[in-house]
Amino acid sequence: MKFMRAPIIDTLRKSPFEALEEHAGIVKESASLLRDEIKAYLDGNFEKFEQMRKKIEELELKADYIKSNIRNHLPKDVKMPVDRGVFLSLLGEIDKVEDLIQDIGEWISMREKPIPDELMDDFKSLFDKALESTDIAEKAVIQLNVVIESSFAENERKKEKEIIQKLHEVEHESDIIERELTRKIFSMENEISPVAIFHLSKLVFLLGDIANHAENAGDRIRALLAR
Amino acid sequence: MLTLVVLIIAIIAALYMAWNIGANDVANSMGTSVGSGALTLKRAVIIAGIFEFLGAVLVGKHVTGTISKGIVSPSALSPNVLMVGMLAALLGAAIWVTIATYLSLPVSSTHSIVGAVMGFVIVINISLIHWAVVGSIVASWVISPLSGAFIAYLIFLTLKKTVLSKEDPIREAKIVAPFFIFLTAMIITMSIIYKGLHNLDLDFGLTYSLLISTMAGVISAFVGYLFLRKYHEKYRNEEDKYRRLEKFFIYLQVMTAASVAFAHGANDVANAVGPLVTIVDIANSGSVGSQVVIPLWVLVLGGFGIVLGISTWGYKVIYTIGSKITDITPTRGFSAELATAFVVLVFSKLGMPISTSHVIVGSVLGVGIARGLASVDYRVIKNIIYSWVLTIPIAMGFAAGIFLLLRMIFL
Repeated sequence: MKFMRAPIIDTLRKSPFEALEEHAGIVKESASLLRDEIKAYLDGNFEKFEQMRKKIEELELKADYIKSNIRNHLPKDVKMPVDRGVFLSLLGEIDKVEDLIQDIGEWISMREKPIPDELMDDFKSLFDKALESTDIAEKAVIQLNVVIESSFAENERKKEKEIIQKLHEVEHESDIIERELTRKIFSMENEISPVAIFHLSKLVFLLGDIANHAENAGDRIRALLAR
Repeated sequence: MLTLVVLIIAIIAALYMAWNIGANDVANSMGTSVGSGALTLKRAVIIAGIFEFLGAVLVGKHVTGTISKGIVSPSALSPNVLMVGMLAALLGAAIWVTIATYLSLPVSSTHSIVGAVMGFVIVINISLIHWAVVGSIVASWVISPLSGAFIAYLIFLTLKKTVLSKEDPIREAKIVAPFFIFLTAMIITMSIIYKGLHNLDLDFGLTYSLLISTMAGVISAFVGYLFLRKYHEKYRNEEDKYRRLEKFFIYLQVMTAASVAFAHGANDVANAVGPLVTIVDIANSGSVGSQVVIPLWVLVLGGFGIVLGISTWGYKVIYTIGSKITDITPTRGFSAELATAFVVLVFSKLGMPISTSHVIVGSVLGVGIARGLASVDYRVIKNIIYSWVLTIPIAMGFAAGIFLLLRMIFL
């Protein structure tokens, strides 16, 4: 605006942590849509499946937009109370989860065949772990904002570390299920087609990767908490 | 005849300068408060108006004296030359500030007026400038933002240790807040009564001033405590304890914002009326005494101009900042503002013309250094330094040019 000369205007900025919270909120929302999406797939309701896939695609675009916005508004001269590089890589890890959620929908849509009954329970629990880890990751990002609001109060940092610990546990549980499930898939090589094996094992890999990246996000947050 | 013409032009120019100062610098006191949601636009304008005026009238004379008689010794020049020179300085500063404001350069009206006064003196004889005074003024331009940063850092650190890091921050805040209210009220009262109020024929020594200020502080703290206890109940249902704490600090930020407005009036009114005082003095008596006598009406005029600036344009500036979503919450705004009010008042009492805008920026950075802000744009420092380096020679040049012109016309 013309006719103003107040340097205070240039000093103040929007908090990147709030934007990060918004971003993580979208990831959580996508994850819950993924639940519906997969349920529709398993029920053979491909019309609904397609709807969900579109919705997730929209959310992914929105998340991308927020991500670019955060990056564009953090030039080098903007100082944060935490390491800027680690903050940006935290953003990257959470965004990776969003990408995976989208990829999973895309990948299962490539081959509209049901998952074998014997594998169903394991798939469901792997799934639950993936969703659980995105939920916890979102909580960790919200708590990170609280840590900033409290200006790194000891008790808030402690709470954050507990949340991150939970992320590790979930990732570990997810890993175990992933390994077992993959083994089961290969043990069925005589009953199901090689194409099915390829399709299912990659699906397992993608689902398992969600917890990995959620855990990575937790590790970045832990690095941000260090004084 | 000459005297009357000069006086009239000077009054108009001083009013304009005061208007510009009010219009733009109100951002310093109210910007973070409106930005953090502590004050509505209307309330911000009203509070700023009242406290800027009070600051200008009650404490404005110290810095005014420096601008009027500190930079150049009045007795070294003939009254007519001095009068025309001061008019040239006022016009030169006003023109530069107008250009800078139009271009949205973050220049300081303080730097402009100091540069402009030096500008006309240099045309006459450079050795007439009181380099010791100018030196200490320039030093204060560096020291004041640094002090702001340091004190804001300490205040925020105190809040962090005594309030933010506690399990129940609100409970702690109810104990810590009255202490800050005490401090603020005491500093402001002290700034008004100690070596002040000559116009009211009231002159308190240091001991009495301290005593009265302490009493004012204690009473304010008590009244403040009663208010805070009553009001924060409103947010009892807010689940997030930090959000609740921030809302609690909204009330405290009203106080600190008013204090900054007061301090700003006290320091910056001089940028408008400093040269006018000299001119009025000459118009009244035909010469200037070495004694600094500042007529109350001149300060009132300056205060009035500032209030006019706030109410006719300042609200737009506040609105612009307020509508910018920032992460400066009331606890952070409180720390920055309290530090600013303190620094600006102390320098005002010392008669040092400093830039309030730069002090508040320094204070905000200080909170940032204490890891209080999610992000701070350090590029502002570069901009400030550029405008700083630019302002002195340009204002000097304008004033010198105008002085040469006026000398041809009037003398």
